[in-house]
Amino acid sequence: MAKLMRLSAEQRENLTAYLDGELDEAATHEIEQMLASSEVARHEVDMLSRTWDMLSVLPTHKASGEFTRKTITSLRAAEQSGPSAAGRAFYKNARRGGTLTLWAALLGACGYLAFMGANHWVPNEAEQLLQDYDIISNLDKYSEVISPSGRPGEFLEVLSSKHTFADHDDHSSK
Amino acid sequence: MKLNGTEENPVLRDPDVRLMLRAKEGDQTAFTQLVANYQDRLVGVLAHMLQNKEAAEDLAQEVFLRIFRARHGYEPTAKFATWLFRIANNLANNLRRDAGRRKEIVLNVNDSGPLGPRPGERLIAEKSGLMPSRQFDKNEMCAMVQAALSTLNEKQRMAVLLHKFEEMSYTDIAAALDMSPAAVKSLLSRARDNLREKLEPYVRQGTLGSIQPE
Repeated sequence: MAKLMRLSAEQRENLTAYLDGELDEAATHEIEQMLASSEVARHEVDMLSRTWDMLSVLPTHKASGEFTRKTITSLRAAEQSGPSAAGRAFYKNARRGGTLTLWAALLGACGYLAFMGANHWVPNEAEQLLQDYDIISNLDKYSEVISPSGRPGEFLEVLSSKHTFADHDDHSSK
Repeated sequence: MKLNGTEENPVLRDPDVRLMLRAKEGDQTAFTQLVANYQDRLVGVLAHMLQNKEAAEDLAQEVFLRIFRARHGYEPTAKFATWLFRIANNLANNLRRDAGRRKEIVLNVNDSGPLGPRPGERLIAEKSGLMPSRQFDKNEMCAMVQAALSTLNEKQRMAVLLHKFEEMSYTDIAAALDMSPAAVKSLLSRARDNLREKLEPYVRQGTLGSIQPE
């Protein structure tokens, strides 16, 4: 029954390599001994060989008559017209880097403008308090001043409308 | 490792390597000679890979363009043919991947999965079901063999083409496909098993085998 034993994967690979002349002397001898004793192996070799030979019916495609001339012409044109592949890659990366830098600068500028705008138009309560610090610190004294209408703090409003405190702030900051 | 002289660097015995070295030095005639030497071989292999001769010529031109642009940095570490077909294999794979994304070419993979038999298998099944014992004419036989070849995956097909039509050794095929020689041995064994499986019924019936190629 050894003649009908199935071949292992390694044996099948070696059969193919034997047909291709790729085995060393020892492996070749081993295969030839197997072929002598195994009907399965002989059948396998026969089928592999005959189906391989079938590939010879495939058409032989050849390059067109103008291929060499067209190829050399296109090579020269490519050499003269543009940079090399390395140059193109460098240019592509440089352009990408430039675009990213531009976007980063644009975002930075927008952020700066937004910050400046917020600083100018959005009231800062802490700064307002600092400006009014002199008044706030003496508020208890001012509250004792009685205005003609009797309304507490009225005289402060009158002084503010006359920009008295603004003048004082300007003078004190100088 | 840099070697000097053909005694130390056997690849320098390759006349095409010497032509490429001349091209590296600016010899345009040498490069033109290389194109002439390899154009038919390259277009032939690529035409079977892509199953389209026009696409094969375009791709072959791209291969030569890549080689031309790389000439200044060329270092002979392998046979010229090995290097050339390595570039060709990579470009062919890229092309098929891009075409597959655009769904312009139906890719043939080894496992048809739940979608059923691939076009090549269907062709073979149809032929065998219709008239299994009749003689096929040369065109039919060619179509059948082409269909069987198309059922192989990309690596198997390229290995078969390089071995059959370029008569490359396992070592050279390994260098071209970026594999080990042992992996190439296994790859070719599976490829030939697949071909045998598809074509054996016709060989057994004495139909395909009875027609001699011209």
